[in-house]
Amino acid sequence: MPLEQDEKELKWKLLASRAQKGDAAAYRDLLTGIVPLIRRAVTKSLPSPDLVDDVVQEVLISVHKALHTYDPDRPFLPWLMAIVSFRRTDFLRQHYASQKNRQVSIETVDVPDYLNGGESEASFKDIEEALESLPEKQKRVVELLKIEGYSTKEVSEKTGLSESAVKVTMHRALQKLKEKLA
Amino acid sequence: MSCDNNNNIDQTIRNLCGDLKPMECVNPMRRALLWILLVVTYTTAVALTIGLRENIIEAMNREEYIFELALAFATGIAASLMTFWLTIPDCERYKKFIAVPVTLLSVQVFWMLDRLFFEGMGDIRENWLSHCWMNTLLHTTLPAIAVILLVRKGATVMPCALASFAVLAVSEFGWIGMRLVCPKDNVGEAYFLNFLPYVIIGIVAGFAAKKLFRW
Repeated sequence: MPLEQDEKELKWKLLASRAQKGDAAAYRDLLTGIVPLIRRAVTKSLPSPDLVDDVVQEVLISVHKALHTYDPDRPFLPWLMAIVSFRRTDFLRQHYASQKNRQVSIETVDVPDYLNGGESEASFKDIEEALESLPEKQKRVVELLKIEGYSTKEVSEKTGLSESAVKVTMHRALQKLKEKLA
Repeated sequence: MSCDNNNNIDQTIRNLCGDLKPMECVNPMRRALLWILLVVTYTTAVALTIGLRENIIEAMNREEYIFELALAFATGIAASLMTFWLTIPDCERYKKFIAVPVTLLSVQVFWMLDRLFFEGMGDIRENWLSHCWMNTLLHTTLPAIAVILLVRKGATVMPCALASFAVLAVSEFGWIGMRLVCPKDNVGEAYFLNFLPYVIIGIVAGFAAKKLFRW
């Protein structure tokens, strides 16, 4: 753990211990101090930045409710992060339980313009070249599965390969494409 | 980040600080020991009230009976400790201990299957519903209520695992109580009939865990 983190950990431990004794000033310092950490921990996993502050507030309330379970002889961060993780999962579960949160408005989807723009044209050429360089069997599976959109079962019927063989071939082809395009 | 959001968080912090009161730290080990003491005393008291099985002396001389009771007791103790350890958020450090009750339970299941294979189910009495299940209810209701109340004072981040271990702990002590009062030791009664209610309770508790232990 970096030195700065160590100092923060010690400071929070002390503040939490004082907060348990009823020291409101220490408690305010503690809660204010952990807000950026909570924010950092939840930002990436939430579907929208607008939700971050809701989760931060829920975590703060949970910290308040669970403060009596913190053992001042133990590190503070694992205790806090366990609460953050629990509340984040809880929030996401509730969020996606609502049907409207599962739908994404077409206006909000950022679709890159593949048709106009020289850079993407060059990328297409690279992909085509990489695809051409694949062995015939792998090329056929990639074309059927990823370009023409057939299911694994349909590709299996068309190529005479078993479904698991189709999956393995696809996996190997993608590995090769990844190497060539890297 | 908008100014409004910052204000909301500041307001929340102010409210929480205003709500702060001196508190006593939860010690999961102390609570576990309190519950174990309570349940052992209660099980003994209920067994003595109902009346110990008439062949208790003979049973106590049988190694397999003592082994079954000792195994259930060890599983019950391990499950109780695990239950209360899971009531605090940073229970990560106790997770390696999960192997102990799970292994003990596996030995118990293996022992039951072994007996079932070699001895079969045995005779089951006709009045099992009024007799065995009523005694089971008597043995387990109070310990179950006590464990729920004590656990709810904590703040678990693993409600389902906690509920499973709580059910296991209550079951094991209840089962010991039943083995002390029920004279039948065949697999059909001792395991299936006396364990079945716990399996049902366990399934229900698993579904209700998140609501039951919400904080």
